[in-house]
Parts: sequence; structure tokens; C-alpha cells
Amino acid sequence: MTPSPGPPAPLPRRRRRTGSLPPSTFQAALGELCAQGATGALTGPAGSVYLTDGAVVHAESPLAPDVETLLAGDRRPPPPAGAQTPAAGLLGACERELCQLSALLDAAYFALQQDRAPLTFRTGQPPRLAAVHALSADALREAVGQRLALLDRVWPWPDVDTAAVTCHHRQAARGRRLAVRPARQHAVLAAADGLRTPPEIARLLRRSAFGTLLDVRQLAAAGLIETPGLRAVPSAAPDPIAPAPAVPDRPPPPLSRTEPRHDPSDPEVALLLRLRAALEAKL
Amino acid sequence: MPNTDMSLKDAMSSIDGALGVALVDYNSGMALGTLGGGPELDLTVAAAGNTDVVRAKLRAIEILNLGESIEDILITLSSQYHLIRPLTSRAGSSLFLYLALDRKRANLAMARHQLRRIESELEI
Repeated sequence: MTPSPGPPAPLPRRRRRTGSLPPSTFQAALGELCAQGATGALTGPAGSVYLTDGAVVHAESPLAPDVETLLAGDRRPPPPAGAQTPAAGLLGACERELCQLSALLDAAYFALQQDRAPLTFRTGQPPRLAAVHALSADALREAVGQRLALLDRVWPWPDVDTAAVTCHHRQAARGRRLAVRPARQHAVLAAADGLRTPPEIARLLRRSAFGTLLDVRQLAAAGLIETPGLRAVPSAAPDPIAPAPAVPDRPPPPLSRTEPRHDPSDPEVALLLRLRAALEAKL
Repeated sequence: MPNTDMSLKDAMSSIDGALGVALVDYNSGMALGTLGGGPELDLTVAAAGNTDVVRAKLRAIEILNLGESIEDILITLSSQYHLIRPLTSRAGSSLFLYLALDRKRANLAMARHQLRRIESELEI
């Protein structure tokens, strides 16, 4: 088989642990449009960013709750289906602005990481909501990069963000670590039914998607939520004394399934795994 | 950003000795609005730097399991006060107000009172 003359296959990329956001096709397109002073909406499957005269004024993502969801969240009971946002007229304009800013950052987190996804740009497309705050593409990229770095500092297993969240009942039942968790994370644990992903839990709880990702990673780091790839193997597992497959380089997180199998429900093993993850994150 | 901008202007004009004020997202360290500051006090840099302070203290309070929330954090420098006030409005809100004051001109009790008022106006 002769090599095709097409573009070379992309090299596997390691997640960077600190610093700026890894480049994506979405960011490249966004940077170009901002430099041109464009007005319109850049859209991919995981979200859109709206520009006015080359400045980012709004962002939306199917993975992040919208402003209405955030406004309806927290202290108010969820409205009945089809009902208007409760007391929409009574909400302060400032509170709406703050929610809109949170929603922008939340959606941008997902939108900016889109790589090799089909992107469209519709010129002149105005955002659904009036612009609150204009940001440069660089400022937005930096903010998203900081958020990614923060998640990786907590628990460097990005798989946790997209997998269904499963509560680690054996650990939770012991109650030791559960007791020190804030009520916010208890709600996340209660919503973890093994089917919902973190963005779905955020929507259910009407909370920021990034805030929920952060909670989920903290819970995973505490061993209260299962980390994909760290899952316990059935007891009929192969001989544990069998030599581990030779790995030429230190394997990056997330762990591959060819690693020696551990039982992470064992608190000692879980502690060692967390220590290793923390050390790797520092190196 | 008319309304939150107005709140920042309010802070700068109504608080004696205010050197600069910023509204900051502590998950990303991004300043969503700043007013004041200058060559001797870069508010964008201060905003990014202080996010670690806020996060560390929020985490400490959570671990202590006191069931309390942070009203404000005071940092006293030799010639300035830095006052940090996390906004506790909505789930998902990860914002704080950051206020730098000149120690010679500021009245700390009044400044805290005014910042509390500005926060309540931001949220209602």
C-alpha cells in the first residue's frame, strides 16, 4: 500500500496541563473572523460564537445551559413545562447580565474546543439576546485555556467530562469523604444515575456546565465518582501477577485499558492512583 | 454592559479612596469589567492573580463544613487594602468583585458597607 499524497494523519495530541488552550480549527476560524472585523455567527456542532465588528458578543452551546435555564435555576423551583421564566420582568437587569456573561463563558468553553468539525459562518446573524459584553477572541481563548488548566489541576482525566457519571456507591456508603463535600456536590451525586453526562446534569440542576464539570472532576478525584478507564474489573479478571505490558514511555492520563488492572474501590489503591495522577500533573 | 458598568462606576465614585474595581470570573481569572487602576495597578493582572485566593478560601470553607458563605476577604498591604467580595447570586455564578483602596484615604467599614450595597444592587 503506497502512502496517499493527502495531508498527513494528525499526530495524537497530549492534553497540555498548563498554559493556553490547544489550537483548534474553531479558534483559527474565530481568530481570522475577529481580525477581519466580521459580524455574524460561527457555528459548529458543539456551539456557536456570535461576533459584532470582530468582537465576541455572545456564545451558545447545546452542551451548556442557556441564560433562561440559569436564571430559572438555584433558589427558585423549576417552572412547569411551557411556563414562562418565573417573574422574568422582576429579575434585575444586572442579574440577567451576570447570567448572560456566565452563559457566554460556559458555551465558549465547548465551542472553542471544536476541532475538525464542520463549521459555518453566517454573516450578519445577530445574537438572540442583546449583547452585554464584548470580548476579544484572544481574551476568550485565554479564559477557556485557564478553565481547562483548572480542570486538569483538579483531576487530569478529561474522559470524565463526557462520560455518563456513575456514583461510586461503595465509597459513598462509607460516608467519610462524602461528609466534607458541599451541598452543591451532593446534588451532583444525587443526579448521577449512570446515564447522565455532566452537561446533562448541569441542565437538570440549572447550573453552569463548567461549574458542574469542576464538581464532577473534584468528586472523581475524591473517588466518589467512577473515572472511566479506572473502572474495577470483574472478579474473574486475568491473573493479577501477569506482567504488565511493556510501555515504552510513561503513559499519559487517561489510563489505557491495557494497564495493569487495579481495584480502585480499594481505598489504598485509589489513594495511590490519585497520588500518581497528582504527581503526573505536576511533572 | 450598561448595568454592571454602572455598578462599577458607582463603586469608584461612592467609595472613598477607591483605586480600582473589577468584576472577575474566578473560574477563568478573566476580568469582565474593570474601572480605575493605572500603570501602578493593572487590574487585569490583579483579577487573574486573585482568583487563586478566592478559590482557595472557598475550598477551605467547604472543607471546614461550617455551612457558611464568604461575605468578603480583606487583604491589607502597607499602603493599600484589597477587598474581595464573591457574588453569591445564582448557581453557576463564579464571579467576584475586587476593590483596591488607598489605605490613607479609605474608611474600611464604609467601604465594606458600600460594596455590600453594590453587590445587592447587582443581584436584585
